[in-house]
Amino acid sequence: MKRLYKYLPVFLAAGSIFFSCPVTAQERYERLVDEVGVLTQDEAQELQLLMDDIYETYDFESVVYVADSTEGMEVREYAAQFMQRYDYGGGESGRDALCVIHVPFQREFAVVARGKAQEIFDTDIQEEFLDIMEPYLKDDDFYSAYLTSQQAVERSMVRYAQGKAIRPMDVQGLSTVFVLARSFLISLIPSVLLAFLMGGVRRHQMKSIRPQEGARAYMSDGGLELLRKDDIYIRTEVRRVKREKNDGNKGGGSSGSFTSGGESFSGSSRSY
Amino acid sequence: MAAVNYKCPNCSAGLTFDSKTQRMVCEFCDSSYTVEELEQLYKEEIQKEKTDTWEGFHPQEWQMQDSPGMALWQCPSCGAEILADENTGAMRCPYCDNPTILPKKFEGIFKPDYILPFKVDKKQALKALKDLYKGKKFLPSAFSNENHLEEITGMYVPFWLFDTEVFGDFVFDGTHTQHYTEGDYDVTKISHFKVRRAGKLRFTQVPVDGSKAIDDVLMESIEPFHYKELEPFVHSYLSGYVANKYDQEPDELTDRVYERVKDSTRREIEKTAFGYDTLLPLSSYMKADKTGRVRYALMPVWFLNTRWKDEKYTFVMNGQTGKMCGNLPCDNGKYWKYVLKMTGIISIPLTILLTMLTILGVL
Repeated sequence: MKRLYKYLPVFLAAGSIFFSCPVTAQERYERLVDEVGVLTQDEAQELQLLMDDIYETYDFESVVYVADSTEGMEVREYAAQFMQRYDYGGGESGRDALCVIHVPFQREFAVVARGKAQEIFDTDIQEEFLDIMEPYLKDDDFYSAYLTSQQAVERSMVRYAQGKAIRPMDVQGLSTVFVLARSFLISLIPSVLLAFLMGGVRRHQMKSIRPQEGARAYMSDGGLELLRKDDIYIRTEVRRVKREKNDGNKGGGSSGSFTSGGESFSGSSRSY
Repeated sequence: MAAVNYKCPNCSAGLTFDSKTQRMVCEFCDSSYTVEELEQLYKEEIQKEKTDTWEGFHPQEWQMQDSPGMALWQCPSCGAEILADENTGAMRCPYCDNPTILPKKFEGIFKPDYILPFKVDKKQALKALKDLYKGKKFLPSAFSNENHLEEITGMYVPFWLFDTEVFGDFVFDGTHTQHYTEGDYDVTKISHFKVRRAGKLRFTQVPVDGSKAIDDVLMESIEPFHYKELEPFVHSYLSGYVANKYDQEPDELTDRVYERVKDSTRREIEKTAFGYDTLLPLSSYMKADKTGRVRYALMPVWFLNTRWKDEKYTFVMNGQTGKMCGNLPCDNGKYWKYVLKMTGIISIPLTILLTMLTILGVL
């Protein structure tokens, strides 16, 4: 046993080299926790570096947690307990954190905000995060999903640091020029339709030779003499359709604020 | 064939019917007479045969064997022989331009019951045509700039005016729909009713033109005519205008009449079945009275013919109300330019709006 303790530093050093992860004195835990092993070493390293960079630049902790299961709990609740257990968070309160949790075997994922992150990433923005991740998760391209989410966090923090609110286009990674071009292309469709309609009306006005509809102008005074008027009830059809329960979001997810362990969180979750 | 000129009692020049004053006016000395005054003066003239024919001899209308449907007649003013459509009963002599009427064309079974005198003159017709061009963005510039008006003719068109009655019997499936929520369910309740309506509707003086040469749709376009101004037929109204007698009898024209009156009857009956959310026709029966009354009338119409790019364009104007109709040519280049321009005008503010909403995070 004494020999084991004697060689412990060697083992620790070897371990840090093996994971190729610069473990600094400030870091207590990994910001990327992959219980399922969906990522390669290189992928894990790249993600870890990105999240470390976010923390060092903005004093904000962004975490990716790939969980084996939620042990019967609701996925957001599970993520909240995970953040509390390992005390993830930065900023003045030490609790400003955003966790992206993915449970591959349950095909569920969520974004949960703690501390000031609840103001920075409101539920609409959290839904945008889910939107940009979902296509990759459906294709089983988990690395791209996590990378996309962390890149979105980075862009959002850049904007937050400038004192501006985060917009859906920041999460989506769209530039103003791209938005302008996309808006123009979208607006072309109704514009063309409306222009054709207006042109068609004007063209129609060029032709005034038309047969008369009916002979209303020649109806005698007194109009229609109604000889028979019957309204007989026949039957009634009744259709009953069960109303779909709206849990809030697409793919059977949930969204909104909640409490865990006496602390408030906000999060959005979805199945895919 | 005996033809008649209405000559001015003052100077013997030709008299024409003036639509503005509704009097017979001398084109030379500006004297004017009412129709009644002139009819009284020329009562004997209309009934007289040609003066140089033998009493007891009635000259027959000479038909050119090579031109069926044409007739030859002689201008009483200049003596020129004029070949015209056999249905023509009034025209201007192409040689001396005097208005000439052939009374025999409007006698017996061909005598109109009524005539609607012209209210609109040639100047107003030309102005109305220019007004028709206004605001038409796709009208080729050359069409309106280059005045290719070839012919402008005031014509009395023969019309049959039908009185008829239509009986209709309709059965519909009418529904009332209710939507409400019951617990976890959205409930839709549809009640069905058998709706039956039967009735009859009288129509008076439904017009159809009785000339094969004139397109029926063209004449329908300038309806309606206001029948309150119908006058008993008198030849003098024709002076200065072209007039044709009918060459289609009422029985040949009833299909269109029945189509129109049945359509109106159906609409009127459907209106009485109100209060339902949907009304699906199940069965219908309609019958038009085929023994109703019919009257023969001459209606005033201005015809304006123009030619552009080897194509003939006909415009017609109601000689009573001034309603002008006609199909104008469309410049496709102007049309496409308009569509592109409007696309640009609409898309620019829409783009700005969408972009702003996206940047602000609303979208």
